[in-house]
This record gives sequence, structure tokens and C-alpha cells, in this order.
Amino acid sequence: MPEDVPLSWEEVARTHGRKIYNFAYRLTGNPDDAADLAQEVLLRVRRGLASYQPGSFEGWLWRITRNAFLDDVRRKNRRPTSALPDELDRFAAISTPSPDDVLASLRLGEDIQKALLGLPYDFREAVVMCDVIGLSYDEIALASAVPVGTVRSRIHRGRKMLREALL
Amino acid sequence: MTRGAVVFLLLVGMVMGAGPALALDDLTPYLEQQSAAEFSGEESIVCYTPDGTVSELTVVRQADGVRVVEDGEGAIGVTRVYHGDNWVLGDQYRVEVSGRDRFLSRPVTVVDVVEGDLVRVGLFFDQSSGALLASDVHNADGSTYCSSRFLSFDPKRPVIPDDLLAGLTTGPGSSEAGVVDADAFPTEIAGFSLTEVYEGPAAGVTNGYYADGIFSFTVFVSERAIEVPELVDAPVVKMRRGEYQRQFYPGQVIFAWQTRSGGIVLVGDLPLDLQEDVLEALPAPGKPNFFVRFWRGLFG
Amino acid sequence: MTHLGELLSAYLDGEVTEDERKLVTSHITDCGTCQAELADLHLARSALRSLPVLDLPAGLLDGEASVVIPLVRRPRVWIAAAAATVAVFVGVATFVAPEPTVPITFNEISLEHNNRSQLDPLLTPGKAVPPVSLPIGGAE
Repeated sequence: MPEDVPLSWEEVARTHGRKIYNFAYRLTGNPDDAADLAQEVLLRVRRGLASYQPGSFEGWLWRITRNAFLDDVRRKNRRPTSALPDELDRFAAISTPSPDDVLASLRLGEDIQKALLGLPYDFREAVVMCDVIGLSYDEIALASAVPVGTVRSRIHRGRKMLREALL
Repeated sequence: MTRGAVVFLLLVGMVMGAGPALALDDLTPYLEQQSAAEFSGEESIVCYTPDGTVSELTVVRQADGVRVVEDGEGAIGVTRVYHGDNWVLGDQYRVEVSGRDRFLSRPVTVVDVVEGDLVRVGLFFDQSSGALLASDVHNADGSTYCSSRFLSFDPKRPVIPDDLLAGLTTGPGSSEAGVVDADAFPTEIAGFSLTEVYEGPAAGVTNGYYADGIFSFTVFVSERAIEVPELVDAPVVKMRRGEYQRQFYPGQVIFAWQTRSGGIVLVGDLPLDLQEDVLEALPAPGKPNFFVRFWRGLFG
Repeated sequence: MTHLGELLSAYLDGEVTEDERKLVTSHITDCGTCQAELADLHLARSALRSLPVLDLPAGLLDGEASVVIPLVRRPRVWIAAAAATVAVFVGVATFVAPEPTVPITFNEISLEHNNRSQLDPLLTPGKAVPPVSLPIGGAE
């Protein structure tokens, strides 16, 4: 078995729960949807762990995550939401309203999220998996069930679109 | 009887003018008496730290719910003695009245705050005035972290000059201007609950106050590194997750460190093991990465 | 002249073969178009990576939610090399800001905490002595 295979659901939840939540949040821009999705993914992981075949654990996990997300979108019969949430920053990046520079960087974060939500799904997913989650191209290919060349192309075009949106 | 019921009955008792000595296994009556006490005296505080012993001798006066503390160098602190509203004792603690003793030739009630098998804090309350005459705080291994002792005690109402009352801080927090979004802080850190979040004391700094009913600490967070001039020469201590600047004062410890995304300063009265627990639960020391600086370089 | 296109993104991510890497580094020295594109891609990539890592909402993991796990991006040695290349070609290095600091004095820290800990009724050591000099007229 590859050494990166966690042994138990608890361990997966502990080590990957936060990544799954961040993935979902960056794709939906909505904390409630992201929390629901993270919970659904962990449920599926719990059910699926027994039948997990040794291989790329990351690819397997993110495929589940991606499918859960797409199922959710289909079920709700709507496009992934583009609503911007109230800013929920990480602990070390407290939102303090007065200083200009802090405000600027916060707005920057919102701008990036907004630009991200403007990307077509395939491109958004590719850049989030690469730059937010830190997956390799091979892992993204496994998760998205596309060839590595497609991953390369999606990431490239996704970044170019993002750059234009951020102008 | 649940804690809620105890508190409720206590409140009813107080409203009806009944005595507060309803439940001896609850701290509340002792705290009420302590805050109402009027006295003066000299108090010593000694703390045993990894960096050596730190101590201080102060003159304390308390009347009308106001406490004035002077050290030998003319520094004066004036605080309002709190009387228990909204105070919650952490679930991990239970209160035991362990007996009666004498201290400074005065009868005292000994109250222990127990955590598991550990007497975390021992409190010696003067039976006639209600004042807290002595206390011991212990680390998880049972060793003493800090001890306070009144060396002299006068249970007469002291005179507190009006000009000192003018210096009374009016409420919780000097930086009342900016009560900010508390969502930005975890509601719980290592068993301590977040009670307040403020902006300040400098631009770009936010602070959150955490308490468990016995100990408390404040975390200051900034997206920039925080520089505390007085800590320039403070010892740098290597702990499991990295290096921190640490300075002990009598009854207080300060940690300062830089994280990957800014700076954090922690101040509190935590015993040694709780210091470690809290630091473990906060972002680890680290250098801001290239991209953060790159981004700031471009956009300020 | 054929430009590098998506090879540039892959190069930034270290997802290129050795031959591709050589192609990129040799091509980019005299292609202004690709230099500019590399800078744009680098910016977009940095922007995404600068997004804050969010904590799991409390309770999501049935009591495990408070576990703090940094979102670790796997170390890739070539990132430094790629960043350095970008810096050389488009002068990014001039943008890297020195790390500014926020000064707070010890008194400010103590005052802030002690004002708060007045709410705590238990005058254990440390709460009894606010180690602060309050600006009180005539008290010195």
C-alpha cells in the first residue's frame, strides 16, 4: 500500500477535512454549502474506505470530493453559486476594519474569490486543486478523470482568465 | 443539583437578601465576599519559572469594589473588583472546601479548585472579611507555579484618594472603539472560551480574551510581525513547534512569535503546562513565505 | 515563432520534463511575449496561493473540529528555481517588500489583558497586580 494511505476514517477526516472544506468553499464561495459538502464527502469516504483499492489516495479522495460536489450541484439544479460570503478569514489573518493595508489585502482576497467564481467550472476546479489544495497534475487528472494534458491546459487557461479578471 | 440551579438559587438568595453561603462547593459565594471585602495590606507574589524565580511585593488597598495596587517603584494599578456576573467555571474544574486553617493568625477557609487529581489552585479566604489572603497555583505535575501571600493585613476600610479613582479603567478593555467580528477567533482554545474580541492596541492588531473561570489569556494577532520593545532581550525558547520569545513576570507570562502570516503575542496567567497547551493550539512559529511578501510588495 | 503557452504554467508548477524545462529557460531569455505571460501566470498563481486557509466550521467533525492542521502544500524544490527565473526575467525581485512590523509596548499588552481579566473574579497572582503604570495625576 502507498505510504500516504491513512488507516482510518477518523484519520482521513482529521488530516483532510480542512482541505475538503477549503476546496468546497473556493468552488462555491459559500460557507454553508461548503460545510454541507465537506460532511457529505466525509460520509462517502467512510462508506468507501472499505472498498478502497491501494493506489493514489489523493486522486481517490478528490474524485469523491469532486463527484459529491457535482452531484450536489445537479441535485440543487442550479449552477454553482457565486454569492460572496461574509469574510471568514483564517485565524492568523484577522479582519480588522481600520488599517488601510489590512483592508486592502482583505479586499484582495475577496477579489480573488470573486474572480475564481467567474471561471467556468472545469477551470475553476483545476486551479483550486492545483493552487489551493496543492495536488499534482497526475492527482488532478485522476480526480477529474481527464488526461494530464487536459489538466495542464485547464490550469493554464484558468490562470490566464483569472489574471484578466484581476486586472 | 446542577450548577445552573445553584447559581439560580444563589441569585434568588441574593435578591431576597439571604446570606450567600448556600453551596459550599461553589466558588461564587467566596468570590462575592472577596469582592465586597475592605482591607489593606502588603502582598507578595512569587512565581517559579523555567527562567528563574520572579517576585514582587505590592501594597494593596481595596474598598467599594475598587482595588488599588502599588509596587515599590511608584507604579499604580487601579481596577474594579469584579463580582461574578457572567462568570463561568470551566467544566474541568470542581471546587472543594478542603478545611479551615489559620493564616496571619486569622481563621481562613481553604478552598481548592481541583482538576482531575490535581489541586490546580488553592485559595485561602479570610473568614471574617472574605478577603483572599493567599493562593497557590500549581502546574500539572503538582509543582507550584505561583504563590501569593499577604505579609500584613489590616481589615479596616482604607482611604482611596479621589485622584486614584480618576485613573480607574471604566470597563473591559481600553480599546472599546473597535469591538470587531468575533468570528475571526476560534471560540475555544485548549479548553478556554473566547469571551471578547477587540481591535487594538495598535492599528492592524486584534485581540481576543479567553478564560476558563480560573485562568485567562489574551491573544494579540496582526498580519504583520508584532514588535514588543520590552521583549527585545527576552529569552528565546525552543518548544515543540518552533521558537518563541518568552518573558515571565510575577503572575504573568508573555509569548511573542512570528507566524507564516503575521505576528502573535500572548499574555496570561497560565501555569506552565497550560502555556504549552495553548501554544499548541495557536498557529505555529514560521517565516512569512515569499508569496506573501511578493503580494504585499505589489499591492501594499 | 511559436510561443510556449501552457508549458509556462506547467513550468511554474514543476510539471515539466527536463527537456521542456530547458526549452522554457532558453526560449524565455529572448521572448518578451513569453516573459510577460510568465509574469501574468505567476501573479495569478500567487494570488490563488495567497487565499487564506479557512478553518473547518466548529462541530463538523463531531468534536474533532478543533484540530488545527495547516493546509500543507507539498514542497517542490523547483518552485524556488521557477520563482528565481521569473524574478530575473521580469524584475519581480524589486517588488518583494521588506517585512513591516507593528510595535506594541508591554504596557499596552498588559493593560489590554488586565482590563479584561477584571471580569475574572478570582484574584490569583497576576490579576492582583496589573504591572502597568497608569497615567494618574500626582501619583508618581
